[in-house]
Amino acid sequence: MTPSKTTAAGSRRPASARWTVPVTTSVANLLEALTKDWRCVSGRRTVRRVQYFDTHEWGLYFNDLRLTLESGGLRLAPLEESESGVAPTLLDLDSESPPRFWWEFPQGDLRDALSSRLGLRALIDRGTLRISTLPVDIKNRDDKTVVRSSIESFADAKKPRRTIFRALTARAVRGYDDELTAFESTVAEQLELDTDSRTVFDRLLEYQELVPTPYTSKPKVFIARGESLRETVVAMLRASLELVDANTQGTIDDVDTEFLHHFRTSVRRSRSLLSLVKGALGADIEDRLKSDLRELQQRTNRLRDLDVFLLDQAAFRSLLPASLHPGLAAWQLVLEAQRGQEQKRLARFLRSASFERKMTSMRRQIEQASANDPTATGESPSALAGPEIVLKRYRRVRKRGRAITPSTPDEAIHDLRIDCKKLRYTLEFFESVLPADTLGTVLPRLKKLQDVLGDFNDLAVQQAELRDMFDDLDHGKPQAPEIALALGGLIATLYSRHERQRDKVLANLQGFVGSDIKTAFAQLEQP
Amino acid sequence: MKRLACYSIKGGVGKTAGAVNLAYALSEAGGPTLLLDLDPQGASTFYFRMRPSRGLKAKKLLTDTERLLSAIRGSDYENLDVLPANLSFRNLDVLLKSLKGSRRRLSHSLDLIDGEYENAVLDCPPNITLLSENVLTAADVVLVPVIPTTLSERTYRKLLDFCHEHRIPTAKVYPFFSMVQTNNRMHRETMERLRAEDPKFLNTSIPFTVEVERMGIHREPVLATQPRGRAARAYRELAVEVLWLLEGSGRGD
Repeated sequence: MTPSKTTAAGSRRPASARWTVPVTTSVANLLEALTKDWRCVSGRRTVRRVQYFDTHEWGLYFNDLRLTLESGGLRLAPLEESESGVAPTLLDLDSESPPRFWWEFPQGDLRDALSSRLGLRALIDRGTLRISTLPVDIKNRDDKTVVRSSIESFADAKKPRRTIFRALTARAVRGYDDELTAFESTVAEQLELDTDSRTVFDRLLEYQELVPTPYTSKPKVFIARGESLRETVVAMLRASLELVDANTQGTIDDVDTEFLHHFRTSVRRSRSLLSLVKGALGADIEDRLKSDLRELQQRTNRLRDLDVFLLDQAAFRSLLPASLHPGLAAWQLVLEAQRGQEQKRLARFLRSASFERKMTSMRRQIEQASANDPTATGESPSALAGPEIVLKRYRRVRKRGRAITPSTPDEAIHDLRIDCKKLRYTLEFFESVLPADTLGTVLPRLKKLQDVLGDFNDLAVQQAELRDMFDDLDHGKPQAPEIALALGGLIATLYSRHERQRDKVLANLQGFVGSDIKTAFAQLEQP
Repeated sequence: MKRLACYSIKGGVGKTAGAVNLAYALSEAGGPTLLLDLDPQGASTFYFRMRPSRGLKAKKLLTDTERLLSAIRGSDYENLDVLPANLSFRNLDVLLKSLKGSRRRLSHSLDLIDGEYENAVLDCPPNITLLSENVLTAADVVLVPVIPTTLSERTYRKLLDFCHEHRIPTAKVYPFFSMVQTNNRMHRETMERLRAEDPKFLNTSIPFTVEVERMGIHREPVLATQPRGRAARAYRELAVEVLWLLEGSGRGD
């Protein structure tokens, strides 16, 4: 067994090693065992509390980072680094918990490091450790310290009396590497301890029975050979409903806006699946599911709109002259108040028995569909039906897209956007039975086109929504004229952007309805 | 990296005690510090419970980067490392004469560790030789402990004469009173007179204490054994004065 030595290149960090000590071995026993071979001088025991933070999606963990709070200081360090390491405190907090979102952090390195890893996600508590450290200096015959070792006992801060795990660490003193090597042999051979390669955070997670899993709001459902369309649709609906479930509590607790967003994405994906792959489950069941899903979508529309407006505030600020900023700020307060009410309303619904019944009923419908006699469509193999469904959507996009000219009315462009969205969904649903090179050619170009179309649509929809906001304003309030001014300014700006966006749509569209994309789709045609 | 030397032509004036305790105080206040024990007798090395280095012969000290770096040892204190002495350092002088650019040799060796430490403290052997020239060239500030006695005063003057003779600027040479017995009238009078004659004497003087005498028994700096004692307080004050001088010495880091 070779101890896990870590020596950082360049910085002359001393070599170090770490071993797992069974919880049943007390600190006193361990010390006694070490004393047989080495002169040990123990120092003063220290106790620290270290609280860990990450997002729902483990945005830091999967980037090999950990964010900890200790004695009011926030530290961002590589996962691998020892908890007693020297990661600098990046932010001293006045409050007990850190800001929830990256944009709430003060300007600086920490904020920059977090922005890309957190996205729109909130930081959430991932547990607190109570770490008790007993430093033990290992001396040579001159009483000179040659190895710095320590015995660390880790407990859940909520149950400080029960040690979860224990570790022995050793760090070389510069110029005494031979002594460290000898110490390592003692620990391995006399004490028979195993080196510890897992991080402290991993062990805390294991104790809490938390398993970081890569999160995706798009479930990948692999279509097996010979699988029927009904089986495929059932599997996809199950996966989507699971995601609705997974995002419900976070939406109720209002952790961050992504929970509701992913809740809605799953609902919309399920609805699209039912309308794009018609008849696989039978009309009755499909209609009932669609109606339930529609209700979920409608009940969440308003809150999502408000979320988007609030998330856009920084962008809006940059669009308006400073003189209109006070109105924007006043409007933000109005939006926040409305959002608060709307969030409570939705949370009440999601906690209700009625929502619970709806989810149970949908699950039952899906299982029912899988038990019923299959319909003719349902029986057809997904590997054949899938590409056909995709082709149908592509032909429609191509036809509509080719008809669009600089003078086409907005509505036609909006219809094209919907068609592109449907095409994208079908490509994703049947991804596992489509040729990889078709997807490789088509998907990036389609995404680009959809982005441009999405912006074009947003710019139009937001103008209308801002107009509605203006109509809904309580014009008796003293801030109303200022808010109205800001809204007017935004509408004018969005209008001119919308006009310019049209050119971008046309440019991207030309590429997508062209011959190379056509060739890529031709591969899907059945011989 | 700022470079401080403790230097005296005469032995037994508190030079090594000064180097050891100042190095400790600088590591507390001014970041990673390396104490280089250039005195072949290895008193500094002994105070840190280390053995003289076997591998680092004098020639390697001046010519072999890797050897120099691998001879450095961590002390028992954070931020404080030591380059232990080697008996062959007594030949440093002969060796320096044989090397090209002999006056700047030591300075070049220090350049090698420049990025690693904030401060380097040189404990120098008590004599006037080519090594002295090297030390005076390499250091930003040269501290000279002076016991307030006639004999000690004379050796300080001799050092200044040596500098003038060899055209070494004396601007960086600063004396401070060492092993001062405040109840000794002659000490008090000598200090008064010397301060009047030479305004470069530092404000802090180090008292003669049993704690310092006992360093040989404890084998630890007094700042570690008696951090609140009279001697420790004096060394800390001296370190502050020295840091101020080093800041002003203009070596950019």
